[in-house]
Amino acid sequence: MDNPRYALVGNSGIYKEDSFSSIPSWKETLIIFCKNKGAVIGLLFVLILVFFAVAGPNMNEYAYDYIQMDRQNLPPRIPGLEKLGIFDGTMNGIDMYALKGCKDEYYWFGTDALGRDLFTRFCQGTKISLIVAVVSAALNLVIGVTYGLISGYYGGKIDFIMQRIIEIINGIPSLVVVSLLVVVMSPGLMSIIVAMAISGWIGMSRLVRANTLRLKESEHIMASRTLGTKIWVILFREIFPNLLSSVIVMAMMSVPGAIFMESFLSFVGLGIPAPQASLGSLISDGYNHMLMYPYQLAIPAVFFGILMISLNLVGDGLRDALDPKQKQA
Amino acid sequence: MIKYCLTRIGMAAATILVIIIILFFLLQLMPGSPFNNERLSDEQKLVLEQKYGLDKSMPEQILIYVKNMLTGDFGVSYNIQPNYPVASMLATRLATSIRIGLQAFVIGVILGLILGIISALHHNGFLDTGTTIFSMIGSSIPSHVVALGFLFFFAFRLGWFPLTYDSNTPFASSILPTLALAISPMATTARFTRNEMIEVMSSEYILLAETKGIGRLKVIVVHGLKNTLVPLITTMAPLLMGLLTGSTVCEQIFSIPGIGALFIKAIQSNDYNIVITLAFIYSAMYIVIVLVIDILYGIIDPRIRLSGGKAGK
Repeated sequence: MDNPRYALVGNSGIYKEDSFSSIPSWKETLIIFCKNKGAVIGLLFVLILVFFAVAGPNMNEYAYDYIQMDRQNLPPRIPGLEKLGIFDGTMNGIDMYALKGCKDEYYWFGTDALGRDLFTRFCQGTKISLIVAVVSAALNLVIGVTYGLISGYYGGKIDFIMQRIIEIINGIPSLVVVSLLVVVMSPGLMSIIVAMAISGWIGMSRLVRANTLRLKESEHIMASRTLGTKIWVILFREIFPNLLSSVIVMAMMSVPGAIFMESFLSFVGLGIPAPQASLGSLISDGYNHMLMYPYQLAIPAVFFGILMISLNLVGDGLRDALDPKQKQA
Repeated sequence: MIKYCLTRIGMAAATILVIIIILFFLLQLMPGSPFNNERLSDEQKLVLEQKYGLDKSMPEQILIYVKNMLTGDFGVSYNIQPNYPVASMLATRLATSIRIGLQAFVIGVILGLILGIISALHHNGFLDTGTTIFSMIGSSIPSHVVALGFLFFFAFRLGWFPLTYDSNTPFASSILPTLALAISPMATTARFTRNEMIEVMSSEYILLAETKGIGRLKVIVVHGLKNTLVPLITTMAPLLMGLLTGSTVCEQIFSIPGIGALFIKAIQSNDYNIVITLAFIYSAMYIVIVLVIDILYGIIDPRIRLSGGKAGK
């Protein structure tokens, strides 16, 4: 190769080790995720709300169900901000705190019609809403993955029957299933979670089944089948890890849907029963006093909207980072 | 194609039958009975149950119900409007609900399409960013929160629209609920159209069309939009379903005499016939929507038929 007309190009630029890994490493995922500004901001908001959900109920001396009949419907008043003329406890120019004779008390988000501190109720409500969402997403994941793996792997008659069952369940709108189930099981945290778990796993199982159908023909599965590996080992140790990233994305995407469903149920009166609070029930309570005390509606509604947007942003960011092939619907 | 349609219709009918059976089963499990007036003695309750056939076994009840249903008789209401036939109770309510739902859907999809096209043509520009942010917010915030916001600002503060639904002025009082419900389909359509359109507009046949000197408008509408619409059809079923759930709450917020509000009321007061009929209507609507969209998709894109009708799943 002494000919001056030719030079060795080399392959150092193209064949870098990491550029061909089929499953993105966690580090790579993190880098892609962090490049997405919306997702990072969303994550930040979610973390802030999670912090308030965990620590908030103990941040002041009032309990979420502590009724004070002499502190009804006080507007929000936050120390520091009150000097700026907002959140200063006045309504239509009248200082309600002075009127009720509690000049030295601060209710950051005001109080409701029973004199309960709305800040504590808001934090408690966020906690309940997040618990409902996360637990039902986890249940969806477990049911959907198991169902999808079995249906896709066995194929044939089993798959046919399982798919017809799915079509029937899917034919009933979730509005109908969830509201009937909640009534059957009597409204409460558990029954809301169970009702959503029963109706929500279809999408996940379809995703898993489609991928299982494709994967079960691949060589490494054939090999372990020939070696006589137990079926559960094949399903969960050899097929499932390949689906992990899409499953995580799908589960993350179902969280805002679950929060919405919970708030819907609370709004129509099938949600979390009275002394407890959820974001949905706070909005519903606020709606009843909307015309007189708008802050009772505005505060939970605004935070609810922020939470939903943030969760969607995080879900989108995760999808772009983990599973770029999954189509946006 | 005909065979494919017939199989799908057969499946749909079977699904509806199974749904009715499941509904009866769930109602058996529901706490309480339709006759929970404390003044009624046990004998009186028994007589009432006999009168409405509630003492019969479940299979018998289902058979009688299906038989009556096929002749258009959905039974009578037990306690919301006692002894009033459910069918005539629902007729006007159903019309109101469907009208508002369709208004919202049509407005949402059309505005969403326009927004999506504008956004795709100004890819990465100022308008695109604005539309993307709007559609992110619009598709995230549930319609009842939007409805509450609209109600507060436009109806209460500004007083432009009536606070509650008035059936004497059906148009003016349905503007706010329609808009509130339209936000979510609009945002979803805009987002989807934008992504599809960007993909289509960067494809080679668009380049070819442009090189051939076809006018820009024609390229966008005939070559670009047409190919964008095909995948868009698959998103219609979930959108319509979302409207169904959304309208239930919106009807409550604006006190619209529709089916959503009645459904919740019937569930809470154990009015079985209304619950079953509405659940049946909801399911049937959903199944028909999915069926129509799948068949439509099969007609537009013949590849779907060959792969066994798994459109958009």
